[in-house]
Amino acid sequence: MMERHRMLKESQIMKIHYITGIAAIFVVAVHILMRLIVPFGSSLEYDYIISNYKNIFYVFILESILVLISIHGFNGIRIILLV
Amino acid sequence: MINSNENNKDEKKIVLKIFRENTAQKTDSHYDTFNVPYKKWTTVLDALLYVKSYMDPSVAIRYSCRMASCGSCGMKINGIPRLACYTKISELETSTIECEPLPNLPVIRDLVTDFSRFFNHHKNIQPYIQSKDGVDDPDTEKKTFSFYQSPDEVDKYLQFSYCIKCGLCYSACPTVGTDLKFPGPQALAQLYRYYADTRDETKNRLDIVDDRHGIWRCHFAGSCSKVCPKGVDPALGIQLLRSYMLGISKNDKKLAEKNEIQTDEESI
Ligand code: SF4
Ligand code: FES
Repeated sequence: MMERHRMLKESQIMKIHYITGIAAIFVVAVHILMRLIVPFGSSLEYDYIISNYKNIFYVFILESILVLISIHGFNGIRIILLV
Repeated sequence: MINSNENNKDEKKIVLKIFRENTAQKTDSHYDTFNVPYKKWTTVLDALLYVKSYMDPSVAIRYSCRMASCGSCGMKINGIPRLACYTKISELETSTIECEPLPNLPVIRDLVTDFSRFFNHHKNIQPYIQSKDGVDDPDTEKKTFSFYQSPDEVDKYLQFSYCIKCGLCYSACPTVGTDLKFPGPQALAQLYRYYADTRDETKNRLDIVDDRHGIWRCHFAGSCSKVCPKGVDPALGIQLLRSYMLGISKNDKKLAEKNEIQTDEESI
């Protein structure tokens, strides 16, 4: 039952799993809100998109969505495949 | 027990459908149907014993206490894991009762299942109080101690100590159904029972179930708590353990004060 020689205990992995899941919900919500407050037409304008990518805060949110969902998702797949 | 000769107006009949399989003889599984008389207080176990006594003695069932204490008569009754001796026919409110072996456990014969895996999981969690005294010192091992626990300290684990190891929760657990290495609700609830006990000094008890197939595979379906005949809430025990493992709850357990008892042998 008890497994040794593992980098992380299962409880540590699950802590990361829960934290990344909750954080992903938060950043996705911010992302959706930012999309909603700008009219659809202007959100597609070249200048607007460039300015978005120059906004460090927004870039950080977009990247963190990818990182958080990847960690959470891949661990989810690992759990499914374990059985 | 039902008296077959008794001609009582209260007596009604129920159709009892019993799952039959003999794994030793590799016979195909099928259901046998019996018409059994019953009264208001007749239990499913009484009806099965009636079948055994007067209709087909080859029906295999396991039972002992007939009072929901030994945990040996667990079976699936009308689709739900229950104790046959604790389920009255009248309360099922159907005209047909289907008795099947407990799911998630290998069938030995008819309604009798093999509990080896279930008990192995139970043994793995070290279901006993471990005290530092007596481990290193062979002299203290022979001593007897009394422990002081406040009612609040006892309340923390009391309901979990009512478990009779009937395996109903284990058979109702969807995670056990997909992962046989998962300890199951009974073992996990018992781990909490000893973890919360202030007499227990075991170090790293939680590590026993902190692995890939351990406590984290519980999806909180809650079916374990629904079927428990003794009012134990294994799902609660599992969530409490998890909160300790995640650091949400702090284990501020103060070990119970103990006093050595002079046994009769020593005083002689
Ligand atoms: S927790 Fe309840 S259902 Fe599970 S084995 Fe113990 S008594 Fe039976
Ligand atoms: S016969 Fe003992 S619990 Fe049913």
